Amino acid sequence: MNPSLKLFLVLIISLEVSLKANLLANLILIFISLIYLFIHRVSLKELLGLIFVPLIAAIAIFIAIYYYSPAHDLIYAWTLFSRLYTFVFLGACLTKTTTATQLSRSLEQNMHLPTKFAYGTLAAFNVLPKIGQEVKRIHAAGQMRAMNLSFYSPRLYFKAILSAISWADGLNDAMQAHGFRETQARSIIDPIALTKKDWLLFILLLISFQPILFFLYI
Amino acid sequence: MSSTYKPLKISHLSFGYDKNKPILNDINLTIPRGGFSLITGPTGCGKSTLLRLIAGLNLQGKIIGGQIENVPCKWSMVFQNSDRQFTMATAYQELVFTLENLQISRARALKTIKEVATVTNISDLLHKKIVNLSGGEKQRIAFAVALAMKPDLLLLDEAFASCDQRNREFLQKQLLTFKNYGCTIIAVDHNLDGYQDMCDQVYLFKNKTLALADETETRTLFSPKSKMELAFKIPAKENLVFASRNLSYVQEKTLVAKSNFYLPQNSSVLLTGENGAGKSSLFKVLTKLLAYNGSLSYQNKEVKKLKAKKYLRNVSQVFQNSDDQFLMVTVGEEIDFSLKHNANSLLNEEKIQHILKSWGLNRRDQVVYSLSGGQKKKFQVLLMVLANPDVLLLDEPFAGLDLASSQEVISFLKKYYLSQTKSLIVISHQFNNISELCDYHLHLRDKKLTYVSH
Repeated sequence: MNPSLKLFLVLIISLEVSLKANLLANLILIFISLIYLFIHRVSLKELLGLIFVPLIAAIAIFIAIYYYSPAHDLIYAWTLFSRLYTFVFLGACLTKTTTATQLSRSLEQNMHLPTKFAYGTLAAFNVLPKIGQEVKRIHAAGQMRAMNLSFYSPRLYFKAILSAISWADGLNDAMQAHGFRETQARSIIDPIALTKKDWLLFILLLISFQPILFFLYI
Repeated sequence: MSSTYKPLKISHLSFGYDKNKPILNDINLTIPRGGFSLITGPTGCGKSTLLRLIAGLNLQGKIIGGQIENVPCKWSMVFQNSDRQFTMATAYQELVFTLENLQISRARALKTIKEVATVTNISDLLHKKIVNLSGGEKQRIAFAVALAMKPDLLLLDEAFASCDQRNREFLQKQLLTFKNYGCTIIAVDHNLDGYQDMCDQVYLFKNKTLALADETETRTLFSPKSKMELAFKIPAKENLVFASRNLSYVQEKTLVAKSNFYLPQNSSVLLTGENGAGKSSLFKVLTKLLAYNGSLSYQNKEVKKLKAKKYLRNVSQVFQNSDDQFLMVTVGEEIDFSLKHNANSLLNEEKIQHILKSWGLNRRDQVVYSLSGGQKKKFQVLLMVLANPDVLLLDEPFAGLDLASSQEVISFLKKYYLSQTKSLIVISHQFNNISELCDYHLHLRDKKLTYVSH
């Protein structure tokens, strides 16, 4: 499916789920997301990450509702527990099958997002791996001069912010040196398709979810 | 006549942070269309600033007077620091982004990408992550993008500083392609190797202003430097600081495989190898920033098992990217910190002040990040010599330094660092006076590190 439509679908369904408590709908969404992720060959390691990273938060929500709310409502506790996982798996359906480049290009081409915004975000995103390397280097540079920068040290973050500012200038230079002008039209070399089929799928999925959410209960 | 054909004209241009202390003062320059102009001058004279002003890029400071006219809209720039060159993750994406900016159609773009990739020899690198490539490889990609743009004006800011001789000659040849279709080229550089046959005029920075070099000056600039005979010995395998058996390391590809590298105490080593061979990665291995296979020992202890906190006080590095080195904000704060926590008994406060002054770093409140490229390099070396480790690794410490400055750095290292029982390894593509600094020559080739004699 087209990356932008995928984003909107995930956003709309997440919003609906967060407004309407329905355990069965949550479980169905998690189940469908899992199938989708399996089709796209998500690795076991990634799957375990998706399950265990939010687990503590999910358990905390469950305990708060079941033991400490006046009603001690078990169904509602499970609903909120599963809601968190619904968000996680829906999000994963988007992020595991779409790269930042595809999404920002799609938003630019299909949804006519201003290019300045699309490429500014993407460029910043491409800086992320550099930031990882940078933090390691700053850490080593400190140790070389007897300054131990622990992960909570303000100086480490001060340096990282300074680097980020210098990169922001650098990205601006880079974009301009390669012909980018804010107001100028651009051509499309790698088109991102937005077909009738994409729209049909988007609308069908969205419509078919409504009765599940509003009329199907355990 | 369209402005594309009028000469680029700079009249009475002054620029600076403060009206009374301009960085550039009353610059007058007319650069003919389609010509190749080379601008040269000492470290920190404002060469890069002038290029950025021509391009209209952001700068701290302001134009105090004068103007720049007839700058073509379609310009491109190759920077010394490749962090400032790319927006996208891969070369292919960068080329697509660039050609879309110029509103090129898909069919033409794909053809162009294929052509420039072949010409600049980056076909294999098109889909690799730029962040993991070597300095020289990144520079080839930068040229590929510039070639694809076919700009009317090409600005080169020490574009070859991180290239080895082969890459330098290869890329300089590409400049002829730009010249042939009528592109105006303005290059800023200290290292004039290879420019002689292609540049039409040379401008010299003197006292914050710029003047066309006359014939005698040009001849002196290009006169072949008496090529220093590089003479190195093979070091004896005793009193080793570093010793390795079957050392291997990988970054994107296997760089070194099963090599037996060693470093004797009290030795000064020049490390060479082609762009992308894995020289900087060796430094990463030695500073525990990159994992290795096989065994590597420091003072008979396996490096893997040593605690970084203590080990890095003994084995330190002058980073290629200067900004990574600094921990404080101003020159004064850096010096105060070093005096307090780092101890090199050869350097007391008075001596440091004297050195700072002679290197033009006498403003204590100057923000380190706002120093010029060359000044940063010198300041980095000073700080790391103050830290006084047992082994100092220097990654391209002479890039962006003019001859006089390189000489100053070499003398400084000899007097205040090597005079103790210390070792250093230096990666450099610039061999001027290098045999004055180094005793041994370590060469990285075919995934092996070997000492060579000449």
